[in-house]
Amino acid sequence: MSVERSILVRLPVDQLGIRTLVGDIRSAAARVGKALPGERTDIIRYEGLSSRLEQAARRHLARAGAQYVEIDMIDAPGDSVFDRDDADRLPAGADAARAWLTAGDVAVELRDPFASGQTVHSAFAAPAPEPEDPWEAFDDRGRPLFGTAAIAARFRQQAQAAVDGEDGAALSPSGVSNRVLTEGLREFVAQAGTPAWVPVIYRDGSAGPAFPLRSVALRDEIPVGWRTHRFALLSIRHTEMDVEVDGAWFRNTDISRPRPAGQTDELAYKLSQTQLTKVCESGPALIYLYQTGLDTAILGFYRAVTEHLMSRPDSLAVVPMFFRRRREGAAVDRSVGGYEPQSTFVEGTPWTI
Amino acid sequence: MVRWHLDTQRDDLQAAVLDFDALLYAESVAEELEARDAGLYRMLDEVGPAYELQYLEADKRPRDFVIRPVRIACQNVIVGLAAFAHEPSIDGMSVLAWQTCEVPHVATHEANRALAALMLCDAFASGGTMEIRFDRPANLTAHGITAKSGERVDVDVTYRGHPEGGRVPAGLRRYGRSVGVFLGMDDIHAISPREARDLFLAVTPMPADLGARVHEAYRRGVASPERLCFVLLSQIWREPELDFMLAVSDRTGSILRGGADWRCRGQRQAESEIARAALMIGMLYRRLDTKDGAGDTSSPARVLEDNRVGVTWQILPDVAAIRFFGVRAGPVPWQPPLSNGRAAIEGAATITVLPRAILDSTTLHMASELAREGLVAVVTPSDSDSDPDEANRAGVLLLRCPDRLGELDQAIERKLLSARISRA
Repeated sequence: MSVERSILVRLPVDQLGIRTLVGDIRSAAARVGKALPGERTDIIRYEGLSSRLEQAARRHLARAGAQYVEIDMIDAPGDSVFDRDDADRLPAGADAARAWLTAGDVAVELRDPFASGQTVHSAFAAPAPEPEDPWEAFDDRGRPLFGTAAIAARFRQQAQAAVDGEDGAALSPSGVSNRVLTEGLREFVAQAGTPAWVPVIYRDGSAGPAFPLRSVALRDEIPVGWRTHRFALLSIRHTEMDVEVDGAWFRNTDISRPRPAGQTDELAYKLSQTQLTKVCESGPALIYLYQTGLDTAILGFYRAVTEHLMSRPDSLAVVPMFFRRRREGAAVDRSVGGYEPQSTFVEGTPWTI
Repeated sequence: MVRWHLDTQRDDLQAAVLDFDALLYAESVAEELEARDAGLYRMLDEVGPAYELQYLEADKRPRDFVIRPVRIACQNVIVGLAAFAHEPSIDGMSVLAWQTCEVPHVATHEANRALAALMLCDAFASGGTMEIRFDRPANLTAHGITAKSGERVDVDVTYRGHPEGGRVPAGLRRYGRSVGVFLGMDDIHAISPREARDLFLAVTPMPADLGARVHEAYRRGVASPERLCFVLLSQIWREPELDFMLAVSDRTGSILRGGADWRCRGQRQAESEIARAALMIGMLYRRLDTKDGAGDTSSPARVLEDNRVGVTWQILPDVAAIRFFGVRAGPVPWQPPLSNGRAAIEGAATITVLPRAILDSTTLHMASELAREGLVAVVTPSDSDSDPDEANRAGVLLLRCPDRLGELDQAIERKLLSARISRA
């Protein structure tokens, strides 16, 4: 087995472009923080620049008189380059490297995963988990449930286990249909009991921010006289809704990117926090939300709604609007603004206090 | 029960196991044939046209809960048909059709193996417990005229599970028996998660060394058996690539989960080096294992059908190298020109390759030691400024992968993203 080795190489900054390259690495790292969750353009740029510097250090190492020092391998956050400003990040035993930095040069960490020796396996490694148990839902009389009723039962069971604090229990929104997810969340947000911030784990294994259940005593009545907005959850996703809505809550281009689901949830949550504050700035607002079944967007939105209601109870009401399939050949019996809607929707239970 | 071919050019295809009991075999074939007409009608007249109308011709991507038809063909012969969907009410998969057949030009049980591989990958990617049920009811409704063919589609049907009485299909059980995996034992209507795990391992082709490493990897918790099989079958990482990574490093688990956090540059650097090396040897393996003469001007046509050479490999973990066996005679690919001309290596049956981002003195020393036993090469990215003459003087070949370092990193990024957004 090969082992990993880590060394610090002294790289003179008077070499062409090294100073600029280090500056570019630092600036790319700073830009990553401004990007959307899951947006990797700046990360890829940072990694590309770091690779260039590391390759330069490898080439330099091959020259006669190149200086290096072997260091303990630590998987801690940080760049592979060290300069005078971050000398305190240098690992123990790298005293020689401190002198290089004082002289104005930089030290570059090089990892060689292919050095000769016996691979050390993680001490905490445990066997892969056993196969899961099959799952089936039953009604009160012990008869198996099918379809939406079974999905709702499963979601309710997960939520109950999560609020009860069972080991490993979490909300798993993946694959849960739009209406079941929204109404199920509402039921547990409004449930009496000790408030619980429950973990959210998606099918891909990623985690969204915790969801506050048992946190707000919600009412069923839609407030009257409040400023009303109608939003589609996502733009350019179900354009047949356009005739019904004033705008879209999320831009599809931001939300529907390939990234871990937990990051999309976090993005939807943060955008919703900002937008809810703006919408409610000049008085209480009533939002009719025409929903699509993207679980991450629904979780993110209603987490922000719940937290908004916790801190500003009388400022917001949200009415979910669920798509209802029209029977084949059924006539459209209404128009909106002179247009014939292509879809019909039904109101869900309001989220308000 | 074994299968004998009257006319085959490959001895290794003779006497493949059909079943381990003649009576069981006869019973299962009878059971399969009894439901075949109903199954074919379901696939060809209901599920297929409905899917064509609602998704294929509408250019729409189905969600995982949609009943999706799968067809496997080999040389214009359809050898497998199936329809399945993720079933949220059981947090597993529901299979509504499963039709396979044995034909002379296809390996024994290959249709069942390939369909099972597709079904298990789908079950893994859709999440859930990996339970696969054959008795779940489902409704299928589709009405309209297909845009391209103009066919009228009127399907409004309720299924009560798979046509063979909602049991695990006889053909699939027979295949399972032939590879030592007994299906439907926990429940005759379902492949349980435990059986699905065993079946996944059985349908995923792995050379013996890789199989042992995969077993060791899930025993140590590097990844679950399902993830390791999915990675191979979906070709996120190919066989020699995964074999290499598992053999030489403890970081493979992190790579298979999508890689370390970018902020931990040291960790990412190590993982990148391992992934680059794996990617280069994967590319080289495919280059060595193909007869495709894209640049061959002597042949009037480029033939792309089964053109594999049959190259095998062995990982040398202590030097992070791979040894290829059965390489065809001729020049070794990817050689840059030397100052004294291009090195012509003829009849190289075995070649040992050290994949590295850069040819440094340690690698050169390691390679020249190995060169005492036979032909040794170091493969680097195309933009590496390593000197082929220097390698030549040490008795080692320098091979330049056609991709530059940045291009390798882009390919790795795509693989890591695929790993991040497939299930945990």
